Amino acid sequence: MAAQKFIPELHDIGKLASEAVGLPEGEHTFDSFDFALHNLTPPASPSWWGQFHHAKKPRYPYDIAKEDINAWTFGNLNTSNKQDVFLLILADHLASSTSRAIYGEFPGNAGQEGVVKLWNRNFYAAQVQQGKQWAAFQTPADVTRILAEIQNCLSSQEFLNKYSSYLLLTPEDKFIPRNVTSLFTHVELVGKIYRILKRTTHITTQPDGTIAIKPDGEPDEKKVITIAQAEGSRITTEKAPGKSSQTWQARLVKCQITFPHAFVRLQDINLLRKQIELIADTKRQCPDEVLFAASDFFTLFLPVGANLPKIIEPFSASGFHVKIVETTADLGILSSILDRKTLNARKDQQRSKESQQRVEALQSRGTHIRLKHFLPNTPEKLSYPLCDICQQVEGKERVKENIREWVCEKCQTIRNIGVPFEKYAVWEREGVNKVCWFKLTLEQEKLEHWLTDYAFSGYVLGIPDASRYKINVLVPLREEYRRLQAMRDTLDAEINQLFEDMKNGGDSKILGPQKGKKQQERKALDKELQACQAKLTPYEEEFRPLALQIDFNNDYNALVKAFWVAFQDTEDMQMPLKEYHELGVFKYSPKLIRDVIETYRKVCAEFFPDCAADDQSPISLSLSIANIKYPIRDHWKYFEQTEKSWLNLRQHNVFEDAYTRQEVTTILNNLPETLRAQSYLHNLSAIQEKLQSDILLQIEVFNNRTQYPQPYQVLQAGISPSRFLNFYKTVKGMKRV
Amino acid sequence: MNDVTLYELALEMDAIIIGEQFKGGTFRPCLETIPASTIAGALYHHFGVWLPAVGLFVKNTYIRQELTYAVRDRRLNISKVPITTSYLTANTAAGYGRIRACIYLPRDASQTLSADLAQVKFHMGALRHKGFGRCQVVAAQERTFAVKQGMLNVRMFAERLDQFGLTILAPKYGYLFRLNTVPPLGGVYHKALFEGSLVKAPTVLLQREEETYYDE
Repeated sequence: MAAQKFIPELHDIGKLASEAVGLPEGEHTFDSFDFALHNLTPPASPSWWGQFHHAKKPRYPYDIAKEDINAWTFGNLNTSNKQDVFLLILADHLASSTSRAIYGEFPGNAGQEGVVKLWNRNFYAAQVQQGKQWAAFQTPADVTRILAEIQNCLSSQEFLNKYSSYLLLTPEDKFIPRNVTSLFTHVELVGKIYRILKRTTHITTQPDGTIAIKPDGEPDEKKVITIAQAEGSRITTEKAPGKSSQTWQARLVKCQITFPHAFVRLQDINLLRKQIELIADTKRQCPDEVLFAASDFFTLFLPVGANLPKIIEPFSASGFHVKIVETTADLGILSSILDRKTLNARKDQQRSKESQQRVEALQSRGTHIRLKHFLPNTPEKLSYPLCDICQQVEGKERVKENIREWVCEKCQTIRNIGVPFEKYAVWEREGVNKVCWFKLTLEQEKLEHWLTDYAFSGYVLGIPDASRYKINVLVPLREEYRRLQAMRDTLDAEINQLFEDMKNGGDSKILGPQKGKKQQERKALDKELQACQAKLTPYEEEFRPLALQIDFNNDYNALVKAFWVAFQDTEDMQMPLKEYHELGVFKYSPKLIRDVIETYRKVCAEFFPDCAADDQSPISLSLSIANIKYPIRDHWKYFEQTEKSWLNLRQHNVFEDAYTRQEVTTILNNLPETLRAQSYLHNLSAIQEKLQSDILLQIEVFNNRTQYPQPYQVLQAGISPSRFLNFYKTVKGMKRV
Repeated sequence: MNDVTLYELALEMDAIIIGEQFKGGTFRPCLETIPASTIAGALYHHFGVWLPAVGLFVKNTYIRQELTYAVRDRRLNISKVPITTSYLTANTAAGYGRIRACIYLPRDASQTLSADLAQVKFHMGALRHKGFGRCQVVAAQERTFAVKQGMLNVRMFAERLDQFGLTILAPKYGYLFRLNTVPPLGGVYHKALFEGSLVKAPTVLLQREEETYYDE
């Protein structure tokens, strides 16, 4: 039987145990479990040592993160085990959703159970209603099962598969506000990062017989004996003390895939299939380095010396462009948003002392943010004509159906994969007039921005029952903030009352000065609130959204799947590429487009009810309606535009508009059903086309508000009549005048 | 920070086609930028001198539309396969009667012709005989711009960068066509720097005024 491996994913298995199992309160590891009392023995597998990853005072004579690895003295820990635990702790720190640098203390989570998804706060409650719950281990007898798991588990995948349903419902950390990532994603990340570190580091024996750990290929000064030496400080605003050459560094690389190709014929969209295949190949060849991947994006965790061009080369060789943002930093501060933090600090350093300090600190620690484009080979000159499709190489003349084209070999190979779906040609023969292409999109940059700037901040400020934050000051910041907010609300009410009294004939000589005094108090209160907010900011500053991004992407994939399930029996709608689920096409009909929009609303409400649903929304649906013969190229160009809202609607040569979820709801709730009302809208539409004046339309709607209240209600909701009419015409199929 | 002085020409036109290569033999897409090859070729055609230049359209002053026409074979007196071309026209809904664009030339290169450049009318782009591409220079002046790091917003030949005070940091390459200046008639595609490249350049040539701060 092969020697057992260290399974890093098992390190947090205790988090799947409810309190009834008998672990001490607030603990999730078994390192201090009273085995003798329960007539049990600790596991003998290498994975057992992962239970010591939180060893610290006062239970131990030292904090494991700060102590010399040679002085780790629990049980019969051998050198290899020590390296495993050492690298596990590094990986655990890197994978957490908030920096351990600001590990606050909470008296408890006030009954908060299960993972909190910032985009779906009710997620866990809904799972409970379906009979699910987070705890895989619920009785004292389950301790035996846990220990057996640690003893016998042979692979990471075995553990993840067996307990996935529980891991997905359990938070990485049950204490607010760190309960926003699933334990599944956390342990998966820990496993990947651990295995990369394991492959790229080794133990060295010092002349005095002690051991140290060193990254492969690095100079001797990188030898470390403590976690703290390997990581350096975990605060981004702290400078490196003296020479930080000992600190280990790594890279987080964000890779965005694009292509310069223009789709000429329908077969050319097979390029998207190629894109998916290349990403799948990269995941297969670098399963640990690829932390996560979407249909056009992936993030890599790489040691400093790793060969990034080799990983990217298959993409550029196939004609794709890969835009890379590479963050190189000390392990203690490396996170998926360190690039944003660093670039923002550099931008603000002239105006803000804090930014200047951050820039100096990051610079002293050798932090680099680099942008690169990986492109196919580009010779200095090419002869005319270029390939019609990619325009990156010379084209070869090809004639088909009396049409002369120039297509290079690579693009022809893509084309030769075949017509993605035969139904399109059938529809053309049937005489279908209009089709609607649509695309679901998840923009990773917008997602990062929303998670960091809105979702997590909102969660931190809105937490009920939070107690202390042990950051830099020992004050009840959260309660202070709430107290000040309550005072501000009271003052606002008093000021409003004084306004009303003055309007109603009160003596302004008395009320005026009172109002002025209250307004001064209000100003002073605003300053206090801002100061309190500034103290809370460090907490938000240390947020790391990578794990949440992965959870979000997983839920997005589930949304796309649910979307298609709703139309699985609809013959008039097709997914042109079986591998690329975000793209679809259907025969245009008012009913079907309305069904698509309603289904999109429904799946968003199911999976992302608390996510932004306007131009900040990371998720969008774009619909492009045109004649069936209209080239796919221009539909795709519309889908690729950067300024998107939650719903983007376009009818070729008619209009192009974007709508928030609220606007769509308002319009759909006010779509008139009576024939008379529809006739009125038809007339409005005629005014729109002939006069092209939104003001005249608004006047018309206002003048008829009694007779036709719905358009007026839409206008009052802030939606202009032209936008309402464009949407209405699309879902009702009104013909152009 | 270095400053660069460029010669700016403000252009106006009614409609213009700066076409890409025909797709499928029947459709010509239209660019929303003025590549160096296009403006340099237009100025060469008018003045007989190659001037390095780049250009961009002013946002919101144009919209995209399509025109279908049948190319006529005069010898056989028949129409060929109809061609659809995309073109830019003035965004009258936003209050613009004409499309606006700006062309930038290095100050040194424009010295000899600066007097001729003001108020000049010339043609640029495709389908001139149908009225597209009639450009008029409405203003001409020297302007000084700060050089900052950012994403490039124009297309220019790779060998002309230093004339515009440009330094490449992370290039995105493509190709621009250059006609031969001597017979035989024809040309080749030269490597060019495309939009989205990370560069240090005059701010007017960048996608945003705000600087980016990537490590170089």
